[in-house]
Amino acid sequence: MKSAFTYERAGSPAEAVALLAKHGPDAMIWAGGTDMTLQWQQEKVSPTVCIDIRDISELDYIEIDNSGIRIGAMASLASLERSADRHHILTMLSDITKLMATPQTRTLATVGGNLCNASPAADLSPAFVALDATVKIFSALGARKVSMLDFFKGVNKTEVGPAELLEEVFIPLPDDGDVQASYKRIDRTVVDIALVNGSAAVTVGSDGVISKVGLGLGAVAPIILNAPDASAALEGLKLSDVTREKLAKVAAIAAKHAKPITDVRASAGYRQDMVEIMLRRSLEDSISKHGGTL
Amino acid sequence: MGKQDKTLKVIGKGLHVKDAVEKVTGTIRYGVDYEVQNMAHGCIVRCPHAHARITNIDSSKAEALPGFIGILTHEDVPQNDWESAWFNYRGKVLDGIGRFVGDDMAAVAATTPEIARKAAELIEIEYELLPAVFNMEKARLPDAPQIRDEGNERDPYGVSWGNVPAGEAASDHTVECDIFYESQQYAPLGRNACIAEWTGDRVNVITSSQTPSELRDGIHEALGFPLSKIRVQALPSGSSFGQWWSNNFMMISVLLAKKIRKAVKIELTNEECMATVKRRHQERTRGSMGCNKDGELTFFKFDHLIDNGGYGFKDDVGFFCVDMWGKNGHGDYQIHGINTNMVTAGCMRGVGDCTLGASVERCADQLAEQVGIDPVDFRIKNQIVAGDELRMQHSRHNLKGEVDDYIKSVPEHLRKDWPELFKLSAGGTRALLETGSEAFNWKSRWKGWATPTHSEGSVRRGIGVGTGAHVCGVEFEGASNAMVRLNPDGSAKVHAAVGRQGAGAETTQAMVVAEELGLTLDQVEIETGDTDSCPWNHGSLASSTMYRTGWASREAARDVKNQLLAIAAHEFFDSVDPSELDVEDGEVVHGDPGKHNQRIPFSDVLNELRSDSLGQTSSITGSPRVPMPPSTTFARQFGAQFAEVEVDIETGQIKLLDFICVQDSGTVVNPQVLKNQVIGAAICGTGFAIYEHMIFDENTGALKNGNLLDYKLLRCADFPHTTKVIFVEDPDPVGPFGARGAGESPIAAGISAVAQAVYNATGVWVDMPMTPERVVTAIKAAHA
Repeated sequence: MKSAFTYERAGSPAEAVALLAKHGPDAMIWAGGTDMTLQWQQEKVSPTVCIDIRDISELDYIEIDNSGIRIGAMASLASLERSADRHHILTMLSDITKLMATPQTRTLATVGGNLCNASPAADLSPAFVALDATVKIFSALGARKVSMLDFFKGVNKTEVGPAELLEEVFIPLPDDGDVQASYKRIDRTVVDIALVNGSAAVTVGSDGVISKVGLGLGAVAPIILNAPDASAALEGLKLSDVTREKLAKVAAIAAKHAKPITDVRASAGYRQDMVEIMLRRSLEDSISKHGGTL
Repeated sequence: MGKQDKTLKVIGKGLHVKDAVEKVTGTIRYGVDYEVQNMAHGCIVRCPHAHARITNIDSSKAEALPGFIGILTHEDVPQNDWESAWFNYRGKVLDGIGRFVGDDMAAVAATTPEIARKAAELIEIEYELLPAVFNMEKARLPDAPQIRDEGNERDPYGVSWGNVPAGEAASDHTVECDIFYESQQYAPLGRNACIAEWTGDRVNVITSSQTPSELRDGIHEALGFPLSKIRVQALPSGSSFGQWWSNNFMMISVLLAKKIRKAVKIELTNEECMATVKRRHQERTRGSMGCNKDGELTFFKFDHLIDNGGYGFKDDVGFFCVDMWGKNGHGDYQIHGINTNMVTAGCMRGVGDCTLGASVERCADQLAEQVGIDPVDFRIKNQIVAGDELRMQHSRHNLKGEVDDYIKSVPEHLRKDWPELFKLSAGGTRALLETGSEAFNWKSRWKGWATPTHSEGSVRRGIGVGTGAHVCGVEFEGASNAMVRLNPDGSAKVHAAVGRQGAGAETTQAMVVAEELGLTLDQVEIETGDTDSCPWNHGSLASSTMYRTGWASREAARDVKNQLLAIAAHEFFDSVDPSELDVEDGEVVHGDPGKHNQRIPFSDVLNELRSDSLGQTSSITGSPRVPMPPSTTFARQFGAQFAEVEVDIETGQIKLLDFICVQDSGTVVNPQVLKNQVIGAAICGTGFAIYEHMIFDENTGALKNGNLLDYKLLRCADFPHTTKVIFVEDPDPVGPFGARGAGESPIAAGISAVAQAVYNATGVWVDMPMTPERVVTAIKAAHA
């Protein structure tokens, strides 16, 4: 039977964490509610208290400065979608949001909620991992920073503690040169969850040398994976020396990190094969966005 | 039979459906939206095992729950078998045996839905576990666990003609097939609920159903109770595709309400709708087919299995799709219905056409490739056209006996206008293929078998064509009837129990009557669900609504018109022969205005009737006065569809690029309604071809993807928005104003078109559904 819960409303991050502390571990945060409502209906979660944080408008922002892009946890997927023309990385993130659910759901759903749901098949997460993003987590003791990679602890499990609130995602931008990123997934219909996905972010310095490569592998493990050895195999190369064959090798190295399972959506073997293709295509796409010819 | 000479004023117009505003504004009420005063809420207790017998039920914990009202178990239930339309269910309402995971075992009633659900969880049932079988082949073996008293396998249903060995000997090319089809789920967007309320010894049942009369029959059988005491008020079901005919949860509602002496509503959850009601059968076709060097079919021989799950009892799919290719002189096909410990399977839109039909199409394509003929030409060469013989000559399912007996029982003078039986009366695929290939530019786009139309990187494009045929309703379970009432003000009401499943019957039936009576659509209203006011009707199934019920509605309107003209002739036209009169714009007029130039409104005629003269009633009621010819013996509908797909051969993903649907449903009654139906069918068929399948646990038979996240339905945006629908209208000699059936041929055509297009893009035949993973696996296997 679905749990009965009392309803609380927080007007600030401080109020939200105070309420969390007061009500204990069975209290749940309500941001957009799009995942949580379903989980509650399906009795996968049984909150006794629901803390509505939709009033916390101070966490609803998308800001850009020289150091990077800051996305407030309460920014909706729809506002991320609408931010496409503000930065080419936001264009790429906007394209990802268009794959997520339906316009109605994107209006309600928040970036923070999507991350805190910690689905291994989430669409934004591999891109954030590839982009080497960090998150800011708020608590009564102040804010702490965690890398996006370390943020995910398991299926529906994150680094956010019982009296903490996700505050912000920060995507660093390079001091020198530029970063280009891409995301690819296997889906079936226009509204679908990724069967497997992959993302790549490639930074090229002003000297034309690839200075940093980030990779994110989704739906092939309980958490989003990266592949530092594969990234290293590409770093230091001149953009003009990159070939399709090289990218295929990098993708193959990266795909070795995958530990996929078989479920009703796809077999482990298919996911293993496809994550490599998704990473290869993401790398090719990122290189092309840099003007690289393959 | 009907005169087609008059200019049609209503038929053929793209009029808005009658419930458009209700639907768009959300005020339409489906089964789940309805309630009656002081009703209780019911919940079904479901079997957790694949096959098990109840040894004990302990309801004490549930009884202690505040708000608990009562429980219904198999001990409360009359042990009568009831049957749903066309053997989609045959069994007792509850008999203490669970035959699949999720089967109905008992039901509880409580003051709220939440308490009812909690009470259901608290019912403790002890089971004796029985051996179970999930595989059709294994269920056929002599030592298989028996799921039903009648045994697991039905008598084979088959059709044979000519001499197959002679046909085989005359073949230059032969292909063989062994294809397995997974179950498709109806996956309607709406759920269903059933309210049962007893008043004295009469019961009123309010639920969404496409088959109100069959539902009343089912209750009658289950309870052993006079039909006169049962009223079904069928509400709109929304898209149903065969799911909401008569279902066992409706019987449970009736019995639960009786037991607790209170109105009760059982509302199914999405999960219950997907996992416990019905589904399309799993099917397997094995067979062979041959042709000569000119590409003329020489024989076919098919053996086809359908899995009925726990309570299906069906044995007869697919004669129309085989018939369509029946020009060749030698054929034999056998269907075997087999029960398994899985959720009941029954008729879903295009039953047989989507499976056996697709097998025949694939074999035909493989022969065409061997001979080197393109698929359009091969179909034109081998498919039937009007006047050709139909191979499906007999059926064992006519409640009154064989079709032949029915024909003989009709007096000869009533048969004189019938079309020639056992020959196709109208239509055929030829005109569709010719029209469609021109619109699709087929000849210049076709690059040959297994040859992509475009290749770039990992992308391959291919084109394909498919055809489908279906009957236009069946007479096996009774003749559909309709009644028309002319009101004192001259407006009319049709009573036709066809339900409202989104196919527009509430509009198109009224259009037929409006046309016949010379009224506007606005002047004709319709009752589609109340069995207390409607005569028996087969309901919206087997593509019969426009053909068989439409015929009855028109005949009933014709009867009304004849009565009206007789009174008008006597009262207003100097007792001329009524045949000299006609109706026009709500008035009675003389065929020769020079003789009588007056126009008498219907209301004036009816007012005469009210005041004295010929009768004692103030309204006129009409019914069909002649028997309908057995339409399975001559009437068919046809669809041909053309598709272009793009396949990513690395990932196996399929995109639909271009689609043209050509449809022959005889005269088009409402082009908007028909277009909607044809595109809906093409989307549903394509979904079956590339994504849709129910995944069952191999150890328990339980459904593993019973939600719309993991059961993939195509969305509108997955389908080319440029899709064109073209009608080829070959008027039917019997159907109302020349109309025929429509709902099922277009689902079959799209399936084969997409399958063939994928083959032409990749060079590999992929079994359906052609999910990305299956496409990649098939390509890898072919290159290994």
